[in-house]
Amino acid sequence: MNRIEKLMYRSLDARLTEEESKTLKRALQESPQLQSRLDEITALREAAKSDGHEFSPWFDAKVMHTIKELQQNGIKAFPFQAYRTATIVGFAAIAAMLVIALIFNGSLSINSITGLDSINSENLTAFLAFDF
Amino acid sequence: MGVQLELSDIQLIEKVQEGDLSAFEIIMSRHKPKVAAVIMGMLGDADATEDVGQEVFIRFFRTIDKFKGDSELSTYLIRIAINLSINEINKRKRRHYVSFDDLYSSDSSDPHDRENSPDNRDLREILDRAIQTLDSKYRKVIVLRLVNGYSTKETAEILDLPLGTVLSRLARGQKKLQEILKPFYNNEATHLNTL
Repeated sequence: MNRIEKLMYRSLDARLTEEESKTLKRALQESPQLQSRLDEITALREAAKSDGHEFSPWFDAKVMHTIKELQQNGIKAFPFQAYRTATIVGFAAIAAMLVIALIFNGSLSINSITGLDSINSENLTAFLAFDF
Repeated sequence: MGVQLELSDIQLIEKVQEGDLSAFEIIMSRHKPKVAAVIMGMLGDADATEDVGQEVFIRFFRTIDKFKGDSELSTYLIRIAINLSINEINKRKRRHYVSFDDLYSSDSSDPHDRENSPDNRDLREILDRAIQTLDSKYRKVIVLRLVNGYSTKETAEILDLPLGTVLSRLARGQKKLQEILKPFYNNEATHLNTL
């Protein structure tokens, strides 16, 4: 884009200096082609003007419905969001316990997880009296 | 309605933050015409405009605490509208590519169908479609300045660009539009001048 073209386009959106205006005017007088392009772009700008656009009549209702849903879901999600770290750490600890129980006892029964299978009713008294 | 219509945007936002959804409805009815016009200019498709428009207000509701009032609410909403429109444009680009030639391709299989020939197409429709083919950086300024009639200063503020950049993008965008519309100008000069 040459300097005159730039001036031509800029004249439509910004104020030119006196010197720039004179230069452009002279160029337009000397070049009917340039004048024709200016006329084209002026007409194009007129045609481009929007008549406006409206959303459908149920637009507001749809947005408000979604927002109300969001609010409800937000309240439900809140406890998990607030205690997310604690929840994740808790689940990780439980998973680690299960893996350790599986490795050392070869089973995921309640007894093996809690260590109760090493205690039986016969030595419970001794366990409670001496080992505990 | 629990909220007065005369309240400023900032006052309405405070009401929304206190849980008054009727205040949000007022904000929406106040600003939706501008939002609709900008999205329609960017996308040229009423269905997509409706979807993106909903997303604009839902996005605003979700992030309402981030609005600090540094700019006008309308400017803020139009920024969201422009960004979401560009997301939509990018999604479309991934799905299919529209070339300049498609602008003048007839829907009719009959090449002699004069009703569908470019000569008889409405300039406005052609122009809308030509704008859709522009790169998004040009499209944004063309839509705001030429289609929606914002001043160059407002356009610069909405897009957070220097005024000089807006002016140069306007010039390049208009030049591209002229090139795209050249075949139409050749045949429809009279029609163009009557609009």
